[in-house]
Amino acid sequence: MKHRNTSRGASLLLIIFSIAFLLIAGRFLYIQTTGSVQGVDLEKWAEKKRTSSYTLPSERGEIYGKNGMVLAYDRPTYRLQAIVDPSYSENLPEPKHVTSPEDVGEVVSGHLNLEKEEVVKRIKEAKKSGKFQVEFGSKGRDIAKDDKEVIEEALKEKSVSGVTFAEETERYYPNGTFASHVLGFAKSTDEGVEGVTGVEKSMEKYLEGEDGKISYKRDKYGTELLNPEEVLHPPEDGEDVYLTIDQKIQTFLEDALTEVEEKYEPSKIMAGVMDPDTGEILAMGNRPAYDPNDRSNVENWYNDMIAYPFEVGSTMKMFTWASAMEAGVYDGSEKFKSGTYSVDGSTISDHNRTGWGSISYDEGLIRSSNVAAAKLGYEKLGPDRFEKYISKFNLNAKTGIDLPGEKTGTILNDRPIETVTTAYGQGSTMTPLQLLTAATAIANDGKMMKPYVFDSIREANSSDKITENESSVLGKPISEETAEKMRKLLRKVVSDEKGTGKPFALEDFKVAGKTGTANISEGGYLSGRNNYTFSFLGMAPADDPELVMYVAVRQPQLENSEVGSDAVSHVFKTVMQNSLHYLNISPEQKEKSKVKMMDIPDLQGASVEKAKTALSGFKEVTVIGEGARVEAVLPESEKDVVSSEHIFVITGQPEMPDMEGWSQREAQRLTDYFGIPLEMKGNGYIKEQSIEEGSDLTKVKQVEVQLEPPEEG
Amino acid sequence: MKIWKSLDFTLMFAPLVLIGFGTVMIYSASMVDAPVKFEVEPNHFLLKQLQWAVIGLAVFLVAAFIPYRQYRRFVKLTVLIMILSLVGVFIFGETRNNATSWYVFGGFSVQPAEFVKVGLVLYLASVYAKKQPYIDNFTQGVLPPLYLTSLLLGLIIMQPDIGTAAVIAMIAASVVISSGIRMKHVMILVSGIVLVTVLASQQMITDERASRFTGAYQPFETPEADGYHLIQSYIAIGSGGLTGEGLGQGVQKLGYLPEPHTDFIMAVIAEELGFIGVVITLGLLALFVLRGLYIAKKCEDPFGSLLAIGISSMVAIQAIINLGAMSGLLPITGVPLPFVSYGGSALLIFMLAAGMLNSVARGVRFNEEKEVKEKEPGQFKERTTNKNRGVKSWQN
Repeated sequence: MKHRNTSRGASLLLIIFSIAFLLIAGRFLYIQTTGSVQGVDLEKWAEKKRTSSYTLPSERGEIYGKNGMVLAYDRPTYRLQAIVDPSYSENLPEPKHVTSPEDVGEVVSGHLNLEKEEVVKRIKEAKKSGKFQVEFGSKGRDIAKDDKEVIEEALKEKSVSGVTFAEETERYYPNGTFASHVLGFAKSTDEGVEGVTGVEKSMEKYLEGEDGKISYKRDKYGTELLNPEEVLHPPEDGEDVYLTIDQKIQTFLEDALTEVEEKYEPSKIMAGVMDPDTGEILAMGNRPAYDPNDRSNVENWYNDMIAYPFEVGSTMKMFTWASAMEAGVYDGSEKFKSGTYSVDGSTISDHNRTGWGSISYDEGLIRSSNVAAAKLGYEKLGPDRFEKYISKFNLNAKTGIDLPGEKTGTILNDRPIETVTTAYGQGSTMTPLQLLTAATAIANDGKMMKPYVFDSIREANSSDKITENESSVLGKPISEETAEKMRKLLRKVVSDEKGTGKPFALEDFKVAGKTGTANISEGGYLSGRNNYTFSFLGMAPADDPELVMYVAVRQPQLENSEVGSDAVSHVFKTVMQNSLHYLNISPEQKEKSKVKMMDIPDLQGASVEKAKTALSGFKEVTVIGEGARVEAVLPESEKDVVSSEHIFVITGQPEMPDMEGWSQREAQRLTDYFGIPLEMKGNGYIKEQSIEEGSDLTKVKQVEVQLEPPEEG
Repeated sequence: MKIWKSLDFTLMFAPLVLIGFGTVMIYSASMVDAPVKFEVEPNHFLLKQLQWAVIGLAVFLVAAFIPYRQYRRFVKLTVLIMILSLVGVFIFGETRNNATSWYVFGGFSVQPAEFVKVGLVLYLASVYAKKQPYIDNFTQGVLPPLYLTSLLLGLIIMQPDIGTAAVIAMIAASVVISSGIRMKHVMILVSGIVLVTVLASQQMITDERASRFTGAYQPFETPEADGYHLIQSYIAIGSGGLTGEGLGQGVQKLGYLPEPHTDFIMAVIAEELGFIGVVITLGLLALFVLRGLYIAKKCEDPFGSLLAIGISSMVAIQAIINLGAMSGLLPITGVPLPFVSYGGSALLIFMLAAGMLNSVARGVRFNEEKEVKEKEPGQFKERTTNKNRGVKSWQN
């Protein structure tokens, strides 16, 4: 009777459970036939989750110099990591996480620039916040492979667990600050190393490798499935780029630039060396420069040699004269009236304002006469023909060098005064590279070569050239004869007594070239003796130039005794001389007036006549006063005095000498001896003095001198 | 040999096939995980499950051949064991997944709550059978057994193992509903339970438990977190299709499914054997449950009937919760699939339960035959002999 109750319950449950079972079966059937739940395709979802793909990284091509010296390559660096999650070591016989932060700190701090306390603190903090691993900031990065191995060894020795290294790729420039504006740099990105400036950027398509990829289906543990459906694209390494940059010459240049930068602290230096026969850029450098390995403090990203058009000054005259010669309107012996020149109400003058009277056009170049340039450009050639030659010398267009970021200046030639100033390098602007390129026409018998820095592309780690750059002629602005005539004239700029280029003469080689002292325009032209761009565009050996070089130093901080050409000539002379020797160019001359080191004998009390004889080896000896006996000899140092030194022989009755033409240093030396305050106005060499010649020096209270810059253009 | 014939074919056949089939699937599901994840031999879980299957078979047979009425003798002992084991687990037990639910002996671990499932069924069947005369009385008939039930559930909730407590509560509810209770009283109980649940839910619904619900119903919104397990199950089921990828060919068991050889064994079956495998497994489970309920209806003795209802419900509810979780109909609570999932103590309990159900079935058959014999004597000579044998063994 009572069991009816249970029977009723059993029936109820039977129905409920049957419905539930049917629902479940229906649910399974639905999922298994449609293969999707809530609109999500399960197969695709699974595919996505099961497929592992890895990038197989490619190597970026390397950059080599002309002689096969590597200038840029990828190198692995390491990042220090410490695993702090204890669950990483679960079920493992040896712990794989950090068990003792102190031990890690002890070992790591011994090898890296990291404080032990810092390491311990970071690890403990990470542990507390439940992180899996921790890194150690910039000091725990960029660890070289050797250092990494040493640390690993030390960790192993002390059985310190939990420290790992993550590998990264970094572009490395083994020479540091070395043609950095040419090479540019490449930075590490998530997609690998990528060129940003310079050759690294312009050659990106060759240097860049193509990453490979592998993908396969795997289980959750990372093991390939039996049917992994593997897809493999092997990586392709980038090609190597060989540059025309000559490791040796570039080193000479970098060293000289650094010396000048340190000594004169100029706002800019730009310099380049080119092979005039081929157009190869052998060296190129600027200051400020940067170390591409450490780009935290870069003052100037731009390659000023190719990207900084400015008023170049008198180096431009080289092309004004060459144009006039080529046009057949030039007669070197023809005289003109130097000093000033007026056109359309504007007047320009020579750099010494007064000129040199009536001189020949040849002498005009030697003395860097602006008036001569004006007459040649405006009168002899005329604006149209002059502009045609500017164009022939490519001074109004980019050279097409294979570096990114090249610029061209602006040629002003619409008004007569513009033609005039352009003829001597003011007003119009151009880049140093345009000048250097144009000068190859003079150096290379009329053929102007197109500049280039990239020599060849070779397959990675092989000598098989894929592409090779060939020299090409950019133009032929002048004839072989004109080129030769120009070289002879430019030789005189350096070798002639009156030449402005005298400071650029080399001991062993004949130099031909042209100086420049350009006004700097910032709104108006800047004043002050430092505010010029001092430059030299030269070539050597003059008869058949092997190298053409340009150096410009902008706003050097000159001391009273120094002149702007000192900075320029230091760069030019060291680089040119060393490079020619290095290139095995046979020396062609010994400078006659070779400077020697000489000793000054003790002459105190000796007769003036005797002293004069004893000091005859020196270039210049001035006797101060009418006394018969020698009181003192200046400079007072006795050993190793340069033979070109100006020696003063002080007599018992010293009198004020005529100091015209003396340097500030010479005047200072004399007045210092007598304890007379010296006041100088202007800069350069002494033009006028306040105390009359012959005055008793012992009674003079103060001397004022008026200085004027030397005659250079 | 004739003793075997006294057993109910369906109630013996279904569990044995499920265990045999389950063991094969456990091997397939664990052969990679064993060495890779657990660092043991690939056949480790297969061998252990086989050991348990042998022990379970012995338990099954012993339970089946004890006449079910004899079980009432053990009710007091069972109640004592349940209470002591649940209290003791707080002292001696081991904590896994934040719940102190395990006793560990040597290499074996046992959940006392598993034993409570069958123990409570025995207790409730016995008590409600006794109370049949006044089952209409709520306070004296219906309520008293629920005190102990609440105590046991409370202890399990304290572990805390809400999932198991819920399963046990549902099993108990099945027995209570079938006890002859009046509908009015059911309503009172339901309102009481709802009230308690609502009050308790403030504390019981933790973020983790709540996340199981979002995981169950919006898995693709949190595919790497709450939804991960269910998505892996979906992928397994989906890639199985109708006929499956072939035994041993599944991919989801290779680390993707969280516990392929235990709770997620059905996902592996679905992937490797397809809907066919699902239907066979589900069919065998349903066969067992429906046959058990059929026996319950047939059984005129309230104790046997309630025992059969409780055991059938226990299998049904666990199967529904497990499969519901696999297919995204219910939240994932970590309930193994009866007879199929890996797990010694659970298998042992199910075999004990299956044996007890068989015993009830034998009792029913015995009564039927007696009635038949009384109605038409002489027609069933074989059966009579059988009955005699049965009686004989009954007395043994």
